[in-house]
Amino acid sequence: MANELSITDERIYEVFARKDRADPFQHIGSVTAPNPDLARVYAWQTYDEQKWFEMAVAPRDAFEAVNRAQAPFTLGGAPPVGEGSVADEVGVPAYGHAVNEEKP
Amino acid sequence: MNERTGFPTAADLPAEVHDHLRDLLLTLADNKRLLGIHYSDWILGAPSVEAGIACSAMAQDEWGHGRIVYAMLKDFALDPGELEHERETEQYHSSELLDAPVESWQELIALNLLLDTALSVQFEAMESSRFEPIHYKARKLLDEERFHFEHARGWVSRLATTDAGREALRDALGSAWQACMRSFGPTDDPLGNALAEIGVTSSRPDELRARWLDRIGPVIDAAGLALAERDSGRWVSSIDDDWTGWSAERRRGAEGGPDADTLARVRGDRNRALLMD
Repeated sequence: MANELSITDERIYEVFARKDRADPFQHIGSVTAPNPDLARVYAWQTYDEQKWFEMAVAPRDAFEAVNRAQAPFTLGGAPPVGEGSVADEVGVPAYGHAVNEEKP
Repeated sequence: MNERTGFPTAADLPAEVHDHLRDLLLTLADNKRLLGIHYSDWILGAPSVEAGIACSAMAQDEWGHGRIVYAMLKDFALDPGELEHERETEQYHSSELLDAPVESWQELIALNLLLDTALSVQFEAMESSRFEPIHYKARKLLDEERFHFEHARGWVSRLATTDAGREALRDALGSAWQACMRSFGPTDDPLGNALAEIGVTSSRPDELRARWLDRIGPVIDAAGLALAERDSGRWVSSIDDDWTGWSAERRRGAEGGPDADTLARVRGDRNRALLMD
């Protein structure tokens, strides 16, 4: 495949959907796409196991962390222990502690 | 005056349009069946896993649409089984763009944007047709086609982000352009005009062509490709149409038909060889 098809400029989009109008939106997965048009298409065609009432996508990097240092969906990478890994966070109090804070 | 009453079956159609609608439906069905084959060829060769899944979904959509329309032709005294599995290549009404395998991703995207949209414009023209059996089918089909158009728009935009990609895309679009312009029929096309006049379709060939240009014009313009331009609020082709070799019956601009391998796959020859009846 020629260079013009290299996929280095792609972003991850998180996919949310609900089956019925009364349902809450649920995070159902993610797709990688070079632009929002393709993110929408890929999401609809990849997660077609349900007849969704509504589906929406958002770029992963658009999410802002609120009570933790890292935004959602970035926590699954399991960085090495000792470098603020996800495993280290277990038991972090509800208020006032950043994710990477030293455990007592 | 009963001019606006519907036609519940093919037998209710006025004699002067019965065969025209039959030929149009066969053309649309053949194009969808063939286009589905070409989408399926790129399931494994697409630039990303997601793009491959999209090709798979679009292939399934096209085959489904083709099958629905072939089934409708039973009402026109044609045998859907024969149509799907037993015709020779010169009996196909599909575009010459679909005769041979698609060589590049850019060519597939050109078909996705230009040909798939041309087919959708023709189904849109029958959403409120006086031929009633097509209503629901056209709406359902067009619902799925929205994503085919978004796929094309997204990939045209993506390919145009590099000079090399834009050049390759321009070549691919240019190669498919004339055949897609022709797909609506010439200005004085007997089929297209008769169907519009009686209300089986909403519009004559020139208007359908203009709608197609209105749909694709902004996409190719945003990509910096000078194939269409705005004129008095509408998009017009920057390339003159060319009717050399046009067959009014087969709705294509070239003799021949799908090549041997494509034909075998379109007809499902290998699948049928497994049948033990």
